[in-house]
Amino acid sequence: MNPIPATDASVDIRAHVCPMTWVRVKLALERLAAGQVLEVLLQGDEPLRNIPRSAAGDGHEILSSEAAGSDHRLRIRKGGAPC
Amino acid sequence: MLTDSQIDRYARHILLREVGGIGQERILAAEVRIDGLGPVGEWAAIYLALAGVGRLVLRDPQPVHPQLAGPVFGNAAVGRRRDEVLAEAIGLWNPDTNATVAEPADAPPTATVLHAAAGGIAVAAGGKRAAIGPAASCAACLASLVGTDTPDPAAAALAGSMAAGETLQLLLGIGSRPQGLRLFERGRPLPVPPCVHG
Repeated sequence: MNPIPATDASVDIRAHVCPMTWVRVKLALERLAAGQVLEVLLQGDEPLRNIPRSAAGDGHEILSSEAAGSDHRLRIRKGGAPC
Repeated sequence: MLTDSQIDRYARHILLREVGGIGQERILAAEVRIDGLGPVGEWAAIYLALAGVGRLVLRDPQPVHPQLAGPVFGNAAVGRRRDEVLAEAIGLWNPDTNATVAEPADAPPTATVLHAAAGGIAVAAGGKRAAIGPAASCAACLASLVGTDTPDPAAAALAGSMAAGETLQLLLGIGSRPQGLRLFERGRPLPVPPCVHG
């Protein structure tokens, strides 16, 4: 298994609800270069279902998804496609 | 960078793949001049202001007509300058849009034209018809396509919203660039006869 690369930026969307969860993640991804890694701290089932799906739909790669206490942490590598 | 309140206000744009936060910042940095603020130009100005165009320069010194009062020009505005009334309203709706009144030209505008750095859109409505094309379109064709009847509210709203949408496409550099005039009646496309105005 490949080691998980260091993150280049992080965004905390625990205070937001759909669709602002994806809006915040999308804006954070726009600020990265292709190949850089974004860490997303989220809470609840809705963003856990939707953020990976939306990110993959825009050409980004989900590197990891893991529980972090009562929260959840995703790592997303920015794809080469324009946001 | 977008502020928290701008992220909330423009979330629906940010979600669009063709716009995003980068595109919204481009809209906020853009300037559009609108000549002609009758029932069509009024709608175009409303949509562009709510979309967050950073600077709107409005030009139509004609008085607001009671029959054309529309949703913006309420009864209190009848007889006042259209550009002044609209600039005041926009200042209340969206703090991101700086709407100003341009010096009137020698003659009041006879058509509605939207000008941006990347190009322009000419638009008109009459009766149940709406017509739209590049700013360089033949003005006589544009006028004859829609006729001289007062536009139905739906035709005016269609023409104004199409003009605003196509102007946003120009600002963002997205979408197709239709050449020539297009004509709609009750929202359905109609063929456009060739220009006979030389």
